[in-house]
Amino acid sequence: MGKAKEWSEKNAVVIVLIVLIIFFGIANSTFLTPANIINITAQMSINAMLTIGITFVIITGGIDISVGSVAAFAGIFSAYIGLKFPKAPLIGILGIQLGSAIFIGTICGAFIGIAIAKFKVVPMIATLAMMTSARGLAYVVTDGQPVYGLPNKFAWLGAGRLITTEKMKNGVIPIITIFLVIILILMHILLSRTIFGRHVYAVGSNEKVSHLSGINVDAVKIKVHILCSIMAALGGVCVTSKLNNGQPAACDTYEMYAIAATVLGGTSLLGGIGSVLRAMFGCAIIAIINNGMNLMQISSYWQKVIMGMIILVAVIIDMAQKKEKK
Amino acid sequence: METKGVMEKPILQVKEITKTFPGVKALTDVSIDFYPGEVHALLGENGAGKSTLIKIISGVYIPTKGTLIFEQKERAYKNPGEALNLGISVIHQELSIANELSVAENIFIGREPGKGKQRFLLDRRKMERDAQKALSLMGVNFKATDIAGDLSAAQQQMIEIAKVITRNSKLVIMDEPTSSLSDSEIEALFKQIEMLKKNNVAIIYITHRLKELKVVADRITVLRDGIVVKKSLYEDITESEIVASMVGRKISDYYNKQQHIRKEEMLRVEGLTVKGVFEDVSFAAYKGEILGVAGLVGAGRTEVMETIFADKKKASGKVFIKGKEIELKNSREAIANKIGFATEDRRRTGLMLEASVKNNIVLPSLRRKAMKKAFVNPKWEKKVCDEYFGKLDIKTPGRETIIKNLSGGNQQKVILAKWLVAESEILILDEPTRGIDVNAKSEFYNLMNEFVDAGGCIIMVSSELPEILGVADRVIVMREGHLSGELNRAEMSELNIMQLASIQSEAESNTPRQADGASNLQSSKLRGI
Repeated sequence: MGKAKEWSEKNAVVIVLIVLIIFFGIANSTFLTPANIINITAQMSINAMLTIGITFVIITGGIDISVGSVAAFAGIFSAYIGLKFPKAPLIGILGIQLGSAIFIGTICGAFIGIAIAKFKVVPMIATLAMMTSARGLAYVVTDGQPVYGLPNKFAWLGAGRLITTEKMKNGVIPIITIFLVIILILMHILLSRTIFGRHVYAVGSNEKVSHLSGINVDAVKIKVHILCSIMAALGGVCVTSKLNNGQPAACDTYEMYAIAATVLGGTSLLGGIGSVLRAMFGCAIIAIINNGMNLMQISSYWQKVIMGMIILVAVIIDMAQKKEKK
Repeated sequence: METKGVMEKPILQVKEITKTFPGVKALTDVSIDFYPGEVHALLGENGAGKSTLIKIISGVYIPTKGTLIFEQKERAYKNPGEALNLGISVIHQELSIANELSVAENIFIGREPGKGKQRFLLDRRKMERDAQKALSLMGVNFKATDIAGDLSAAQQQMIEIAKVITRNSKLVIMDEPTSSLSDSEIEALFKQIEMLKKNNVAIIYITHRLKELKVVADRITVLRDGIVVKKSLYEDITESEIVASMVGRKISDYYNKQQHIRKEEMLRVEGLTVKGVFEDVSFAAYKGEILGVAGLVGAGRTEVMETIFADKKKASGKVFIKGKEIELKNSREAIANKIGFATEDRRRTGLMLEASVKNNIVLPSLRRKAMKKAFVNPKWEKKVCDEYFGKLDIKTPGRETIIKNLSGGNQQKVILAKWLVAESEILILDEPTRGIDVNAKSEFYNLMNEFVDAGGCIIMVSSELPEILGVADRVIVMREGHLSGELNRAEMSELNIMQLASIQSEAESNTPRQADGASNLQSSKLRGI
């Protein structure tokens, strides 16, 4: 009993998740079908990529509200490159997509990181500037128009599925889910097993102590922001791939969902505490609420309201549990 | 002194108060009565439990056991706000002044007078009028409309006293009110205290300067290791009795002083200068010795250490490690050259408070012990933690315990472990035993001796003279950014160190300090008793 209580205190988010699954499972008969569950994993993948990046940043004690715009800009960029190579093989297309994400992510992240670490700009302001600039660039290069005419192979990453069965002619396992799992494993190892990961936690725990322990705090911050922007850019590229066209207005307010998922996953906004695996619970909660409300045909306007309230309540529960423990 | 309240009932009775923190018993069965119209001085060394007691009285802490009786009624207030409403005010050493606000706004902060039916609008006129009334009563030389940040520390303190007056507080706790004041300012403060006494306010007065007691104190209580060891009317006790009860133990047993043999040079600095902070500092530290660094707070000792550790940039000067000149660019290079630095503020710059004991210990050594250059080596982490838990007798439930849950003494040992794991040979310890209890101190001195006997070198900055005398093999003294002298073991005495630390500033000195043989009194500021 004591152990169960302790577990539930530590894992309030998991309980919220289970409660939501039960609720939607009862409320709607299609919610718990295998096809829908697979759908949810695909739907949460893009938010999950942004969330992984933001988790790193928040663990260092920072914040990044530019991820939605960076994602959109990278998505547009990949679409333009894709248009230039209409006959490229699948592997080439994947190269274009990953390359675009890494290229745009590195540039944007380096800008943010250097502004924060070297010029001591407050993270909220540095990333606010990037948020408007990157979004602006996405509109400038497209002149506000969507980018159409991408080769079909371009959609493989974001919309493709593996293993077709008779029931599911389009395939069972979404490529994007596999892609996410690979990224997740790599990022989890990076955060939990490497020296760099330890330094990320250390900087968030106490910058001064980290500095006096020989850690190059500025370098850690810059690297973390580059990583976060690359993750955001990957998310954006996946969105373009999923839609098979580039939308300058894509990924609007995605930063808010990513921050919410991170916090739901137990990452402290004060820094020093958090995990990318647990952040996935946060992503799952958001994806399930979205999916469940869609199935129940709740209007998308109300969905926003309910989403906000659920996030708030979940975080309050989490905070209350933590406070009790003290 | 006509109000000596033997006849009166106490305004506050503290009864058998015990307070325990994880791993530390801060107060044991403390009972004290405080009378209206009296100044009751609360005395004791650092860590004696004074601050815990005033935090209980002012509602910051809830006692583990015992009762508080205020105005003959038992009270169980749960936060400082409730204590404030009862009429208990605290004037902290670090004044709580909002610099951008006016004096009147500061005085009425949190209880601004309103006007209109709902008292929604701020009645600035009334606020400034009432504030000015209090200020005029006090006879101070600034106005209610002045901006608080433009005033001196002494004037800001007057704002705090005006707060007390306008609140009609019945009990005022003053925590080292004179620590940042000049002589004339202290006189002005004492006048205000006299006025509060006339209005039958009870005052709990905490000070490290025993000389002041003569002027203000009616009654004293001495705490040591969380226990009341002396209660008396001031007129019934001598200063030497007070000092004896505060220290209470033979210093020689406590420090376990060992004579170390000076061997080869480990660290030497020549002409180290940081403009406007310290100038032309030169000294050497040797293998197998503990070099004490004494001086008043603000003499530049910590800054010199930060500069050696390459946390601060030097303007000029040279640093030699084992006889070789080395230009350290940052702390990482200092660590690579086997220097370790335990800072004076453990909680702010020494520890990652929310992280585990293990993560705190291994942090500077992670890269050196990495697997395949990038991965943490968990086996090594476990091994090295267990090894040092044993070696330093660190009392912790486990490696993964969050470090803020350990006692101060164990936290300090963790910091020591961190630098030992980093293979430091030169250890800079800045106020290493600040805020840890006596037994932990004694243990820590033993560990320092062990380290030095094994061939290490310790540079210990300390403001506690008995500690310097008890542990150091040699002492260098700083005064106002300059090295003012060096004393070997035979020459070391409180008087000699004090003279080097303060003699020039005597003329412009802020504190009532004597230059004669009353070394106990003199050292009280240094020791931070």
